[in-house]
Amino acid sequence: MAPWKRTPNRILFFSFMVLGLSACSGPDATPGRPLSPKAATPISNVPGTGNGNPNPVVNASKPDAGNAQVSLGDGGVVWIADYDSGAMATGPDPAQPMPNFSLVDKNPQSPDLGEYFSPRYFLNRVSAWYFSHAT
Amino acid sequence: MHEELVTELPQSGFFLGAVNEVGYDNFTYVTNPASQQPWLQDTEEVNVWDSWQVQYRDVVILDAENKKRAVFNLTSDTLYLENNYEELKNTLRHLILYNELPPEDAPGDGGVVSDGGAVESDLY
Repeated sequence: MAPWKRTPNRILFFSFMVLGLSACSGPDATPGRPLSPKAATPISNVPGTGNGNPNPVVNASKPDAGNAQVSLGDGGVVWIADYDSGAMATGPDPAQPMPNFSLVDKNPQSPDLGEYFSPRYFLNRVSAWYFSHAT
Repeated sequence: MHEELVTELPQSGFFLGAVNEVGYDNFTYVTNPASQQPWLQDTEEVNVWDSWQVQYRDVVILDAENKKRAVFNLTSDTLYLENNYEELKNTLRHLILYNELPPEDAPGDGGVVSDGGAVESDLY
């Protein structure tokens, strides 16, 4: 088995959302972000906001009115089920670009020290992002 | 690995960067000359670690549309093991060349020849 996880292993389960899957309100669901029938709309076709804000929330004006509580950031965030764990969770929509950000280079050895970088600078190129600790 | 890929595929524009978690911003001892790639400092306001839902030592690979195509964790799959090193390198190489992941059962697909030098330093 390949050591890396192929993101297509995560399958969208919008139809399960329509049926009001019990997991939506169970312990695996993220508190305060219940699933709802409206989440069955084709979220994969909804573009991100594209405003650079990594955590904007759509439908925030009706938090508990039985409407969809689907967060769509830049790139989109959806409820997904993971085949590996079987748990429901939120995550970036794999059909959309990852949420954008802009952060400064702090590596004292980098020739670009002090410059800001963003994933969107690297559209049309492959990029890899390593999440680590400078300790 | 970054230098190898850029040398092999100079037109690719392949980028490797690191994102440092909030609260772990001690760069005092970053002296390895191989670690010259940008090392970005996450902030509580931006919080990329949360929005991207990553774990410590994940390498998230994005395609040319900024879509996540693969994740490789260097704790569970250390690059000191040659097979892991080649798997990650081949994944990047295949994505650069063909815009798709290599077949799962063919880690050597794409013509990658092992250089026998599993070097983790350029990924910190």
